[in-house]
Amino acid sequence: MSPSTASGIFARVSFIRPKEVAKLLAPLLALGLCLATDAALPSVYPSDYSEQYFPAFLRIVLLLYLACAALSCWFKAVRQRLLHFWGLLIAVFVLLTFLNLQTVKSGNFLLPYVPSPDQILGAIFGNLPTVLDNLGGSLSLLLQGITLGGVAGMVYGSCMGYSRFFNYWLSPFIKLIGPVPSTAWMALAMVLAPSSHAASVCLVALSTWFPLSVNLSGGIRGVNKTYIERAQTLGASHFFILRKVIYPAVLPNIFTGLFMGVCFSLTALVGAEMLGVQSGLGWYISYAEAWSEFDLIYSTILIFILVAFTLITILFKIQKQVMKWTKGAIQW
Amino acid sequence: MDEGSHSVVEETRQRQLLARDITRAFINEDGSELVALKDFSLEINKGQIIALVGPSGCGKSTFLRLVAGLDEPQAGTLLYNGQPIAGPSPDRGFVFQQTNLYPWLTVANNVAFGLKARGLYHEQKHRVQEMIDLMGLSGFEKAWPHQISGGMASRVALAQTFIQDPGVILLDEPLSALDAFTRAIIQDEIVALWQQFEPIIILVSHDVEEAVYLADRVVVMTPRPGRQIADLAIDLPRPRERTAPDFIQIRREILQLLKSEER
Repeated sequence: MSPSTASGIFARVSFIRPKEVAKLLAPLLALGLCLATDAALPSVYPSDYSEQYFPAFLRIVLLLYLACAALSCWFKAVRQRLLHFWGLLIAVFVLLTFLNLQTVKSGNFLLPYVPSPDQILGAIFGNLPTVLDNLGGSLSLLLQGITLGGVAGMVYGSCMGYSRFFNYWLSPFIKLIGPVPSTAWMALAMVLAPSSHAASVCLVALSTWFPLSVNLSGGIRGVNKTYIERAQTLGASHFFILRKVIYPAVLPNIFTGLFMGVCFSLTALVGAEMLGVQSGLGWYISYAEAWSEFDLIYSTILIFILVAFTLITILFKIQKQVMKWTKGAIQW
Repeated sequence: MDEGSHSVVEETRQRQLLARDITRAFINEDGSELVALKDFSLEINKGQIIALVGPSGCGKSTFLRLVAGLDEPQAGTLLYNGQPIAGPSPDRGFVFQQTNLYPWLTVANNVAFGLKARGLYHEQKHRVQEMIDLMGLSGFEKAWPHQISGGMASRVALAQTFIQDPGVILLDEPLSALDAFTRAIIQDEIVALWQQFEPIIILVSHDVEEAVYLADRVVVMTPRPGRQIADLAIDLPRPRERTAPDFIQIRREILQLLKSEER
């Protein structure tokens, strides 16, 4: 059909090639398979158990996918996203089907060690206030720690990179303290800090401070000397050079440091919450373990995945925005 | 003050830039000494273009760094306007071998860098656009350095320095990375800039043709230790014709000097 004979909307829809249509429809088949097996096969779990969340979850996913697919007819960006993720989406739906079949539909995977997808979802949505409370606590602790560690790391790394004097006195400290796992400080921090919350913030801060300082000071010392000399011959002061030459030049190092800092911080956070603070996602996992509530453990891990992924995605989005001049920065 | 130093000051009234018996040596990693410049003297009058030519290691770039104030001589006198050179100054601009634009600044902000550094940007904002237009960079104000060609990057680097209107401009092989065609065009642009701003230009080049095309004087240097073996005045009218017999004659002379030193 030629665009001239077709009316507006259909003319644009017709630009999607048949192969692309197949790719857009394939995840629907996998999702349909998941829905169909879940609805058709009986549960082997005790008779007082009934699925509450999984079918609804699948229907919401189905609706979302249909909405995206519809949008993709008009918005090229959406279409490209879907066409990029189609294989991964199929894999996710097939894995979900597999897990569902092996647990609630056949009992091959034993309870309580491997719960069904429905139970994992139930552990989140059935305890939503508790989950949100702990998530909020963890996020606030994490953000406080990362902020504190970020500021400390910027100052420490700048001093170490910029001045020989500071480098002499500060670098042995970071070389000795930095690599020690933050949880090793736990017992001490609990005693020395005014509260267990403050202790945890400090431990998270420590794990951001270390990689950020090391990356930043190394970056500052490695700044292309001609950038600085050129600025000097153009009449720039030390302070101007620091702001307009050195910091922009080390932005990639700062972001690498922050990226590593966020990853280390999550480890520190879980350790701190498990050992010290009696709240947060880390505590929630150890609590669930004590009561052998594996569905809680799985669901909390799921939340951790989402938190870590979101934080790092935000970080890379900021980097992309701040470092607009780069062609190919580190991709996430 | 003895009589000798008095006469030196007297002399620099006319000779804006004066180097006398400059020595600069470096210590190699293995402990051996590399004498980059030995008893090197040079006098440059206001508004002249001087080209320093010679093989690697003859101290040409070292001399530029000394004049820029990025390095200090171990012996000798180096005066600019009668004053000893101490540290870098915006009155002595330096265009480096690699164009070295700041990749995080747009073309316009690279050109404006010096004005901003000296706090003159708000008064002299209009000069940035004038300079950009003069260098034929209009339309690329917001481009990032990685998006523009090598020739344009050279123009931005020149604009970044010339906008400061320095008394001395040091060019350290600024065009060596460009193709011959672009290089010839930018050489003419350098002459035009020079005629407009009238700075002293000290050009370091490996390219004898470039030196003869641009310079009022060509100083031929030789390495180990770096010193001057000839100082030739180029009295050809501008614009110069690269294929004119005079031009070729001077080129041949300089090349022979360099060759004879090699033996």
